[in-house]
Amino acid sequence: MDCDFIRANLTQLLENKVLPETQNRINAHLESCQGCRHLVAQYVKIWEMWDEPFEITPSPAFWPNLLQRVQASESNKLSKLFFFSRHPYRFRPIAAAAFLFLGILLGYHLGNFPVPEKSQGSDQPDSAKEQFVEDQVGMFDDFPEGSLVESYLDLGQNNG
Amino acid sequence: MQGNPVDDQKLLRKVAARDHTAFRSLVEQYQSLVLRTCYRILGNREDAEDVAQEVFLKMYQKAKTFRGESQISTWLYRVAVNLSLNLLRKRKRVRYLDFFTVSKNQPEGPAITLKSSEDNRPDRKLEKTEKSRILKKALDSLPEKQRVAMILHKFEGLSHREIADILQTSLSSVESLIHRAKGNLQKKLLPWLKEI
Repeated sequence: MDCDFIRANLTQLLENKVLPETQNRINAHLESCQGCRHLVAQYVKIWEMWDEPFEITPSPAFWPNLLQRVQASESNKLSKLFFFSRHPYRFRPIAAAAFLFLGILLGYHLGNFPVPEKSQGSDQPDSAKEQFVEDQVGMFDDFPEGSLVESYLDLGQNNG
Repeated sequence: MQGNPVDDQKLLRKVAARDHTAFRSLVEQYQSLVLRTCYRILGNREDAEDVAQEVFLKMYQKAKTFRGESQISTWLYRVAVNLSLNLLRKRKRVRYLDFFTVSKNQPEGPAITLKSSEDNRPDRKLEKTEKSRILKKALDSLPEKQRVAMILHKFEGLSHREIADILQTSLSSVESLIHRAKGNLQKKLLPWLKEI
């Protein structure tokens, strides 16, 4: 039996969890070793702190504050009855879908989509288009005689 | 554990029907238990009261869904332990983030206020305060689960089975936790004992 054994088994010693014959040897060692005796005495005092009576009383404001928190939680619960305030994250996909639908609707109107089909068999000339072609072709009438462009056009007509 | 389970169930049913009188009598019956547990874990009266209020608020909100499989005291212990540990973890995170800004020279108040009936001599009081400070310091250095198991076992005097119910773990793991906690406490306490 040595001091190291005592140090390693202090808790078991205090809780009487050592065999009777070991206990006898420990007692014999303690009688002869002042250091271990002191250590065990100190450890006993610390270990006794577990059994010290301890009471903590709540402050006078404990119940009023608790009641206030209860009432606050109840009023909070009422406001949470609405589905979206209870599950705000579920609002996001619905909002995104609505935004997309509005965008399509707006795009349809602004882009005049689909383009109205030209009525079949109508004899009405597309005046804007004809006017455009006429103007474009008319550009070639004003070239001065003997110019490079006129020679080129002549060449094209002769070949054609 | 305290309280008559049948009466408690009746009171809890009334609480579920939003009866504030029944709620108050349950609070008065268990406030000491809840507050003590929170204080033992948090080591601060203000925080302990705040968490204890949260525990009772949870009881009020969940009264309808309480199935009565365990005693109310077991359930309250469980909620008190969980909420106290949550607060400690939150504090640890904040302390970690504010490591370079927060002053660590905060005064260390008395660890546990002891109400001893036997001896009120100033020197004995001082010695006890010192011993309780050492024990608290050693206890605080234990891993979370070991610390809670030791608090419930040694301070609250609960059996291993009751602790297993509170921590929702097996009996053998509670036994192992307490065994390891005692070993660790001994290791932590020895150097301080040598200094005394």
